[in-house]
Amino acid sequence: MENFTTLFFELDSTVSVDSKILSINNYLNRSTHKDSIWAIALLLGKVPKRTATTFELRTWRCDVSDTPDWLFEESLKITGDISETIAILLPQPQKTLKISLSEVVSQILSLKNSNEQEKKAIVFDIWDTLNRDSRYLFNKILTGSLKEISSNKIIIKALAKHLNDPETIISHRLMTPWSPETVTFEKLLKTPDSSEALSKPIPFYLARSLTVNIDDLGNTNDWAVEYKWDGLRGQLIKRQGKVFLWTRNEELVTDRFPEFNLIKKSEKDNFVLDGEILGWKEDKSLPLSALQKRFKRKTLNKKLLSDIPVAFIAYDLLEHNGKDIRHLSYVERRKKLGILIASFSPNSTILFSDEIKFSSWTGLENIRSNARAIGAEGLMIKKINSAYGIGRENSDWWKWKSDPFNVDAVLLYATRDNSFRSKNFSSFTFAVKHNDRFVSITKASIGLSEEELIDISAFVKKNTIESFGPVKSLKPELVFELSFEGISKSTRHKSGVIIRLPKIERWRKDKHPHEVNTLSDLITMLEHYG
Amino acid sequence: MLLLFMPLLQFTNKGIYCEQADLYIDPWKKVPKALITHAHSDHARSGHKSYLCTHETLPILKLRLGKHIPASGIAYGETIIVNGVKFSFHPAGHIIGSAQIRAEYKGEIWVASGDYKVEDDGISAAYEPILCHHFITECTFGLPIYKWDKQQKVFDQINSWWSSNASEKTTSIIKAYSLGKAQRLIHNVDQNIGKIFTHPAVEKVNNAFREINIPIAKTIPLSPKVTSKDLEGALVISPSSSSELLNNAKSISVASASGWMMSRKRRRNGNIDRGFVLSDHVDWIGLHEAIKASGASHIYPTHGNTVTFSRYLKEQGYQTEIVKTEYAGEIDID
Repeated sequence: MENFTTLFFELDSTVSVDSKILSINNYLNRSTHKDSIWAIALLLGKVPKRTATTFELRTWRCDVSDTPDWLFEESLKITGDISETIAILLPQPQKTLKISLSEVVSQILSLKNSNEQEKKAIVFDIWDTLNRDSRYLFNKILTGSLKEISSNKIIIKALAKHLNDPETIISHRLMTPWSPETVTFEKLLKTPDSSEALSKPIPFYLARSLTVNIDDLGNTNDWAVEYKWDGLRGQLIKRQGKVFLWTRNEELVTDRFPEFNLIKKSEKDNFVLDGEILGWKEDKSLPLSALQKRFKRKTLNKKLLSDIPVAFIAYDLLEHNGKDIRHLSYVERRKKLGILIASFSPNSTILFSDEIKFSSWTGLENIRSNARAIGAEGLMIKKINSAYGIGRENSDWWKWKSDPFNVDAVLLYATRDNSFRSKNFSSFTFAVKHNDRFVSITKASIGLSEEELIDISAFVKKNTIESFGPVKSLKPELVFELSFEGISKSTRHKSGVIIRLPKIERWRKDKHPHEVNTLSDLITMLEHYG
Repeated sequence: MLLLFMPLLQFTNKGIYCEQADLYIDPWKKVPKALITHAHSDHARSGHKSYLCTHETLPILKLRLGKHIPASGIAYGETIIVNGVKFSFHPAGHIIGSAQIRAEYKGEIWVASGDYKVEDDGISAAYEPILCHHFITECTFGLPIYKWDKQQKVFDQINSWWSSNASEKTTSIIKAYSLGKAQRLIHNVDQNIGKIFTHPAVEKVNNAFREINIPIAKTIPLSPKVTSKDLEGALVISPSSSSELLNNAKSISVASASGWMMSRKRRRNGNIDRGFVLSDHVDWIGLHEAIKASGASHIYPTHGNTVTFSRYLKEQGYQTEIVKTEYAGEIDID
């Protein structure tokens, strides 16, 4: 257990990805497989269902610690964490034997079928064995309140290094739902399992942002163009009659989208589709915010399902009736895809991502600038003779996003960098005009140069109206041009709009604050594109 | 004869007052005569007509309040008598020179703790319990969650952090008070790991102590001349991590060493890479040890978690009275 505790607090005390990978690696090197599988699960936030409540822990604590309850309450105000407070207030452990992480967890799991007295006895026993920091983690695991500690990516990297396997293999093996209660380290990470293969997604082929001049792509006949939809990239799998839906973040989300489960019975072919999960209603795409709303909910009710129906816009076919066809050309794959989708029942929610006809690159630029109006965020340009690749390795797929929205806004608040390394202000809140006042619309922090930040910080020092800790409210004087990728309605923000991925384009020293955009300008944008 | 019933030490809006001797302990308003427990600015203020403090505190008092202030020194354990009241200064273990002040009159004994800790830090004169009837105690960390590990354990953590940074040529910076925590760190870290640099504010204090022959290990003051090469793998003790003098450091790791680091929330919100739980104030366990060892039945908690601490003491059967003072306790710096 101490090994895991060390790992936890090492990860807790650094933001550097490299140090985190190193810490995990060190842990794996010094731990048994039995412990490692649990450590990986816990790091990823896979915590067993709680077998005791924090309320129970608080009550039981009173039997072994002489701190009165009111004093416990006062202490809790400071730490803000029940598990931590209990861990500190318990008396020093008396038992000297060591207990491993897997033993601790198996004790925790065993409580499932115990009565209160038995539970208490086991918890006391473990409390009396662990040191303060380990107790804290024990309490967290026991009460199911341990949060994800490390990202998938970091763990995959550390495991790949530890096992000396490519990251793609590790990520494959970790992708399917697994539980440390039923799988061993060897089985999950060291042995390919054919029965698991059914749900396994194929690595996504990623497009690169168009950095070259569009004319440099050469002959327009070599390229096909589709809309770039503003949804969630997904992979829809049907193998041996079973359906799986994955997102690009390697999350299995089949149960969040019961719409697609229907194809289990209705379609006879097996396939793996690459496409976009989109909110889709009355033949039109819904904004990403709607889909996110649906995505966040753990339980789906009828209303949500009917308010925000979804579609899968398929743009590629990777596997057909058990055959990997990624090596075929784009044109060939798309031909098969078209036939497949045409064979689906008429009320299918799987749609074909149409190709856009165009004759010249200039003509395409016009289409791109109108993409927003139909709910797309730009265009995808794909080489017609290209195979389906892995990752972001070559330049056969380009994404060509529509130009961002632009707005001139005045600087209203500045926040000091939350890193101690800088004395400059680096996070800013901007406002537009509304009647005779300014109403803030967004926070933005990227886009300014180091010199500009210094100049702005100097301005802040002289023009602060009020200070709220690190936040300074300012005389509205400096004007900036902001760009952003999307706009949607918000009931939480005073302005009524929320803008996505804002970036500070430039400092408009030529503009006066009364020349900035108005809130009604933004509402208009919202009505057109939101 | 109401005066007979007046307590020996009273709590006034200027500070802790002894009417019989007409002098104050750590007053925060200007008074004619002040006894000073230690030189932290919340206890040692400017403008008094006369100061009395330990010999070790004297140079710092002069450094901070002016060379020519009317101050004199006294040895630990030495007694002075003012209008029949016996005063003496006893080690408080808080920082170098810090003292508890004992006052005795007609058999009644009071002790004002100032700031203190019970663990011997190796560089300050170690805390000594003083028997008394009335004990005025700080309680900065008067909650049971504040329990300090033995200092050696904390320094093992600090050393391993420093040496692991050093192996990557990263500069280790510990934010610390220039008086007290800085000297404790310098004295107790493993000096074989690398060079120790100090912020000028720290170095001034170091030099003042060196002048009275208190052995402070060799440190190098930060200056614009210090290059990035010099700072590679070094340890810097500074009250602030955003000093311009640190601009040369290429890669840094910033730590805080304070009692507040006990809470994970504080460690995570502090804009620091590491938080070490190291305090110059007494912890919950130490508070109870000290109170017990003093033998006092009347306890006066001053700065810190006074309300909770006093309620707890009452439940334990002590007579307590919370005393409002203007002492700050341990402040989060930077």
